[in-house]
Amino acid sequence: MANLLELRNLSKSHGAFNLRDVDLAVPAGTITGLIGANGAGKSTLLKLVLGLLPLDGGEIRLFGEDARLGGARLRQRIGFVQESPTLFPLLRVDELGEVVAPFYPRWDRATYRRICDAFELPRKTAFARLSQGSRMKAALALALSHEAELLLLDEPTSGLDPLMRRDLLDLLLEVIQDEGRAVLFSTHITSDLERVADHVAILKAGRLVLAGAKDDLLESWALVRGGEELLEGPLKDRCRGGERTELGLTLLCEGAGSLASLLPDGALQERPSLEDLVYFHDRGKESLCAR
Amino acid sequence: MSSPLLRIDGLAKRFPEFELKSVSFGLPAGLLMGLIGPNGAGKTTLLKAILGLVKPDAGMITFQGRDLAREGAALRARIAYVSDEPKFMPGVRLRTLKEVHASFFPAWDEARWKSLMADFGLDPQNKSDTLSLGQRTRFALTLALSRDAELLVLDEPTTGLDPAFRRELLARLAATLDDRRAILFSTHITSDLEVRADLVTLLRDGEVVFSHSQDALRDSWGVVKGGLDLLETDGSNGFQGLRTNAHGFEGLTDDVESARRRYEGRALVERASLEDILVLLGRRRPEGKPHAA
Amino acid sequence: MLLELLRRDLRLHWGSLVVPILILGMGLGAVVMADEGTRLTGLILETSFLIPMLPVIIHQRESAKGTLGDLLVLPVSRAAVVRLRYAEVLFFTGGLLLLAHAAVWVELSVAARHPIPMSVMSRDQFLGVGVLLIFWFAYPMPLFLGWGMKGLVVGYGSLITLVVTLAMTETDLHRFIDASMARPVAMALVLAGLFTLSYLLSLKFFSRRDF
Repeated sequence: MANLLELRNLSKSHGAFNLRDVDLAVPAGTITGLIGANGAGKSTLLKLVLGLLPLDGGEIRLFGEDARLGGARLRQRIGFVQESPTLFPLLRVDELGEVVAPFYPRWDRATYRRICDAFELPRKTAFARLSQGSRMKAALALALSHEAELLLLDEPTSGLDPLMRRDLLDLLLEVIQDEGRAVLFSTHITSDLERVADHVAILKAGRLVLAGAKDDLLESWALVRGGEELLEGPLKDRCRGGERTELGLTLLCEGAGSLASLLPDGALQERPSLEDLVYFHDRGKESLCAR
Repeated sequence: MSSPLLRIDGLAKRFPEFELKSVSFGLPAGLLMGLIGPNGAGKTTLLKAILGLVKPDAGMITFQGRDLAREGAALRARIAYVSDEPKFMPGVRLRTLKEVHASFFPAWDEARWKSLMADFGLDPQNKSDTLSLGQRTRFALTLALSRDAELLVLDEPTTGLDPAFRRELLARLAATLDDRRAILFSTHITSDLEVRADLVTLLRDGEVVFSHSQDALRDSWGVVKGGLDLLETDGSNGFQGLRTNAHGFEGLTDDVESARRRYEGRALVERASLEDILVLLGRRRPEGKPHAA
Repeated sequence: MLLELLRRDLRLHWGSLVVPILILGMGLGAVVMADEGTRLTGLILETSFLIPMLPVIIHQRESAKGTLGDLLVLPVSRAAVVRLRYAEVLFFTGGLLLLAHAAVWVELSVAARHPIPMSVMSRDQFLGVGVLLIFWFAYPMPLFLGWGMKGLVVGYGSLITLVVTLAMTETDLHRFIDASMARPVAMALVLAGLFTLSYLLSLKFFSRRDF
C-alpha cells in the first residue's frame, strides 16, 4: 500500500509551542485519526502539510514526492476542510463551485452537483445561512469535487449532532472505498475514531506519543485497576500513566499480552478505549510510575 | 424518590420554524441528567425556558416546588447556566467580569474560583476577547461552579474541548452533586454521558422520547444488525428506527429481549449505545408511528 | 439590586461611555464661558441627544455583544432591567444638571460678581429637559426593549420624521410651547405621566420577549 502522505522528523516552532520529531504515514485506502488536547499541535500539523506554514526541520512527502519541490502541483491533489469553514459567506452553494473551479484543473462540475444533492444541500442558499453541519458538508463537497486523493479535515465533526456526525463518517468510509484515496482528520471525539479510523495518532504537547493501527494499539495496551500494591511489583516498569482516585489506582500499561503474570491478586486488567489511551498516557507518570 | 428538584410539566413553545410540544420530566436532587437530541430538537429552547430567557406558551416549570415563571428572579440565585456559546463583554478583564458576576451572589466562593481558574489554565488578567471558544466555555464554567448553585444548567459545555479535559470536567461536576443539587447537561457527545449521567432525556422534534435512568435504557434498547435479505423477509416492523447501507441494516428496538428471541441465530442483537439510539431514531418521528417507550 | 446592576453597567460599559462624557465635559466648559442668558441652552441641547442615548448605547451593546442573556439569567427580574434603564436616564440627567450647576457656581464664586443663586436654570429650562427626555428616551425605549434594533430604528426614525415634518410645514409650534410653559405644574404632571406610561409599556413589551 503506497503512502499518500509521509512525515519524517517533522519539527516546527510556532509561537509558544513546538512540534518535534513527528513521524507519520498515511497509506492509501485508510482513514487516520489525529487526536490530542487543545493546543497539542493538530492544526499546526495539518497546516504544515498544506504548506501554509514553513517547516523548521524534517521532511514531508506527498504522493511519494518531496512536498517542497512539488508545491502547488501536489496541493492540487489535496482536499482541505478547516474547522468551522468560512469560505465565501455571501456566495450560494452553487456559486461556490464556480468560484473554486478555475483553481483545480480536475474540477468536475457534475460531481459537485451530485455530491451537493446527496448531502441535501440547498444549492440556492448563501453559505453563511447554512447550518454548521451543512457548511461542513459544502466544504467537503468542494474538496471531493476536484478529485482530491488526500483529504485533510480539521475537526470536521466538532459541534455537529450525532446524526450529522454519522452521515459524515459514513461518507468518509465511502471515500476510501476508492483505494487510491486516504483521509487524515483531527477530532476531539474519540468515538468517531473508534467507528471509522484504521490508524490513530495521538499528539501531546507537540509530540506524537502514540501512533499505529487502531486495533494494534488497543490490543497492546491495558488498563489495570487495583490497590496501591500495583506499584510495588514489576508492573511498575510497564506503567505509562495512571490515576489515583478514592476507589484505588488505575494504571495504563504496555504489553497487554504479557501482563497477566505481573498482576497482583485482585487486580483487574481491561482493554482500554481510545479515550482511556489519550487520557491516561503520561498522566501522573511522575507520581505513579516514577523511574 | 422524593419530589424532584426540577419539574417540567407540559411545557410548550411555538416558534415560526419549530415547536416544543408538551414536554414533561423531572430531575431529582443528587443526579446528573444528560439531555440529548438532534439539532433542532429543542434542547436549547428547553434550557432557556428554565432560565426564563424563553417565555413558554403553556406549561409550568417548578424548582424546589416553586413556580419559576413567578419567582424566577429569586430562584435564579440558585441556578447557574452556561450557554452553548458563552459571550462576554469584549475588552474587559476576566477578573472584572468575575467581580461583576460575583456581586449578585452572596454565596460566592472566591477561593474556589481562583483554584478553578488555575485548574482550567486561565489568567484573570486576560481580556475576554482574547479567549477561544473553548476558553470562554471554561471561564463560564468557573463562574457557574463558584456560586454554590443548586441546579447547574449546561448547554453543550464540552463542544470543542479535548477528551482529557471533558473527562476531568465531568468527574468534577459529578463530585459537586449532593442531596440538594442536580445537573442538567445537554451534549452531542453521548459517550461523555455514558460514564457519568444518572438519567438521560432524549428530545426529538420538540417531544420527549424518553427520560430514564441509564440502567433502564440499557435493559430495554437494542440494535439488530443483519443482512439486507433478512430485512426483506422480515420487514422493518417493530423497529423504532432503521438505517441501511450496502452491507446490511441496523434496526433499533426498545425491547431488546424479545428481539434477541426473534432474531436468534439470524442477526446480531446488541445493547444500544446512546449514540445508536439517537442516530437510528432519526430527526423526526415517522408518520403514524406511536411514541417510543 | 438596582445599585448592583448600575455598577455592573458602569464597569462593563465605561469604555463606550467615555466619548459621550467627554463631549458633555466640553459642554460644561461652554457653560462657564457663555453669557449668563444663554449659558445653559447649549447644554440642554446636548442633553437632548447624549443623555437619553447613554442607556440606549448600553442596552444596544449588551444585545450586540450577545451578553443580554447573561444579564437576564442573573437573579434579577425583567422588570429590574427595565427599571435600570429608566433609573439610568434619570441618574445621568440628574448628574449632568448637578455638574452644570456646580460649574456655574464655581465660576460665579471665582468671579465673585453675583450673589450665587440656588438654581442657575430657569423653570422653562427644567421643563425643556423634561420634554427632550420624553422625546428622545421615553418614546423610543418601549419599542427598543420590545423589538430590539428594529424597534429602535422605528422609534428614532419616526421621531426624526416628525421633527423634520414639523419644521417643513411651519406649524405654529412656538405658540403651543409658550402656552404649555404658561402652565408649568400641569406640564410637569403631563411629562411625569408620559414617562410613567413609557415605563409601563417597556415593562410589558420586555417581559414577554424571548432571548
